[in-house]
Amino acid sequence: MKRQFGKWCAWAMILGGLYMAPRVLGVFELNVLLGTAIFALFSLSLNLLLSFTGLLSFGHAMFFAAGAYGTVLVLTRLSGFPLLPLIGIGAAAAIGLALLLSPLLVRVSGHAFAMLTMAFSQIMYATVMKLSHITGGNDGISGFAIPSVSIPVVGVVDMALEQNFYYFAISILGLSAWVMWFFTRTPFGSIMVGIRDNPERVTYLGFSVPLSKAIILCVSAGFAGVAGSIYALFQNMVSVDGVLGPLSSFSPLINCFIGGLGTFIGPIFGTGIGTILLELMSAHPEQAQLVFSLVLIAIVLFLPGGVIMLYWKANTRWMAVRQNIQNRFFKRRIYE
Amino acid sequence: MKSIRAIAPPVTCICLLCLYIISMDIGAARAFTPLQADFSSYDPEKQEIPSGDTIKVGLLEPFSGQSASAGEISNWLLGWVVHDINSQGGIMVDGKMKKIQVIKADTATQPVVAKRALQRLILNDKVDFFVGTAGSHIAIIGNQMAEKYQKIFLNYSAYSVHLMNAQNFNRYTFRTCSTTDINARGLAYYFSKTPIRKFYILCQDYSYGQDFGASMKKALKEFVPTAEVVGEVYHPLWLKDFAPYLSKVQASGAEMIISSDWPPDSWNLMLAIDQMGMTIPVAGQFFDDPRMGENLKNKKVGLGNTVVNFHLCNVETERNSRFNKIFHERYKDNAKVQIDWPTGVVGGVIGHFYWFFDVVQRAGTLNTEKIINLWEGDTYESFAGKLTMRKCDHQAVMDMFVSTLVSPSKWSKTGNGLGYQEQAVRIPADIVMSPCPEGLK
Repeated sequence: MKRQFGKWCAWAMILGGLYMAPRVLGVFELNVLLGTAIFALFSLSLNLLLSFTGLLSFGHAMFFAAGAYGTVLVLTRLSGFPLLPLIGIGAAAAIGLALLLSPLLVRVSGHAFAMLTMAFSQIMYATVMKLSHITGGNDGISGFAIPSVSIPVVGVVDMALEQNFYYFAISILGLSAWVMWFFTRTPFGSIMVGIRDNPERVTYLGFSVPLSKAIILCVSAGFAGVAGSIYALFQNMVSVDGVLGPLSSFSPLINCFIGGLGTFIGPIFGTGIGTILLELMSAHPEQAQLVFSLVLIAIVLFLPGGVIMLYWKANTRWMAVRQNIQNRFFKRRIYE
Repeated sequence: MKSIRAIAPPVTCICLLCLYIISMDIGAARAFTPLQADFSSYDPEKQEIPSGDTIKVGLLEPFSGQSASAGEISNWLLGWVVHDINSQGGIMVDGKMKKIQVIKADTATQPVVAKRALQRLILNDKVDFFVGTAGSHIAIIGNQMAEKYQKIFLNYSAYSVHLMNAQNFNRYTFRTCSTTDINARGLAYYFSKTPIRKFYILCQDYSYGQDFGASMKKALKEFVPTAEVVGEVYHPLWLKDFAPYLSKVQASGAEMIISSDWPPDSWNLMLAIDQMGMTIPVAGQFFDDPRMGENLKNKKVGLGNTVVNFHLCNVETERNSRFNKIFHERYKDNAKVQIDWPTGVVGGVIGHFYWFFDVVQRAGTLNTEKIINLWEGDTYESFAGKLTMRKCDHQAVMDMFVSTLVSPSKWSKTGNGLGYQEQAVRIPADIVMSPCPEGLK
């Protein structure tokens, strides 16, 4: 009961903090926070494949890009398109791409899956560059107006204002993260873990591994698409290097490693640490990548379970200490 | 008593007048003049960072990735001017002498990274102005952010003509460099006086390269009707292997490649020409860089390269001679920099920075609106000639200069021994400048 209360308190504090952020932080800090939240969702979507299903993807950015380009192309070509369905378009574009690729991707795992995803991502990169008259190529597409949202009673909310967009985006991102977490807690979540640990056993239990993988890929791609869609709206631009460059695929992977594989929450920590590092190094761009690489190497060597391991270790130690104190107190009470 | 009262008003007036003249004199004494500092101590890597109340200037350039060299060069050039001005005490703005503080922001030549870097510059570092930038696709982000946050953006190195058309123009952006249209017209006019008639257009595949290709075809049609464009191809940015493209050039029988490529693509293109055993010259803006000659084995590669720019060290003016002398004195034996004479972009950009800070000095304030009002229509005598800021599209109006690379040359030092011809050809502004874009007055 006490633990449940603590949990609720923590959630209330997080939600309160997110609500208060625009009132406390400046526009720049708010943008950093929102950018972190977007990449956290992107990393979480990759984590569904990597931590829960054991599928290492080197090309997850293609789903992020599909979401970003899907949203922006519809926004710039169809005037008067409402904002919320635009996010849906982004998710649908990414899911469509996942459906298209799944017949090939679900039949492989391990290195082959990693290489195939990277290859498809490169094909998408080349295609976006070739279709520069549609996608803008290296220049990208920018400077589009973000549609306002009409809410009953409240009225029309101007999304060009950073504060308003923050509340809109953080709600979608939070909801998406919760849905993903819930997904891992369903019986299907157990199948995901089963595929990771022993795919033959899953087959013996009567589940189709390829079909299950296809569903997981679509779910993961859909959320990457949502992150991509919000990213494009937040940046007010989409460009090939921004959403499909090598770093776009590797940064969520690095976030998962830094945060901690095998946990749901790890990538969120990883993204946070990555953002803090990037911000600290912003004045020294020439050395930023070197420092980032050194931190990654240090984490892989000394904290192979990611920074979340620090929390688990501290928690376990604290539990042991508490138990010890309780035992002593209990014994003394008995003797008294 | 009565007489004192009688003379009091005129005496007061005279005193006030004297005070005004003295204050004007102090202001004038405190005004900076270009090229006054001792440059022997100037090192771009050890720039002094002034503290306290400063004029904050954001430098938006790539400092990482393939084109990091462009950022290093810009930091060097801006640092030169800032070193000069700060050593003279700074600039008098809003009644205070303030030194200039440069804050670097890395674009990595990626629009999204550039946008984030700019937000940091404007919202976090609270810069007064920002300057840049390599890449027209990055400059367009600069345009948008300048308009959104109402900060002056000095664009000294993004050339795409569409950056300042009616769709993209905003009153906070000023472009002091030339445009793809101006460069193309300058080259085409120059070629009209030469026997070269077969051209191959080879440019980078993004807004700047595509604009330059289109401008070049238009200008050739206007100035050299007998010219033939025997091929046209656009390659990805940061290309390492030019062989497939050069094979096409070889097969086309072209006499000259016209390219908008900038480093490292321009260096790699010259290297590929050398490796393929070709000697075809290249015309463009960045084919005079002494650093590109370093790895060329054939002494004839690059010979005949034609360079068009808004500044060249072989332009004969009194100011330019003085500038050349100071610059050469500082860098004649500097193996690290490898640019011993102020080549086109190097000299031109330094001149443009002086112009910008001169405008701020004359405005006497950091107020954006006052600086805009002063700069619109302003005229400045730079090293190579007169610059005028056109009010309609905030585009600098200037003469252009064309020069061919020859060997031997008094201007060369490094690489395979190439340098500019003795004197550059001046092409007047009324020939190279296009009219104001449609929709802008």
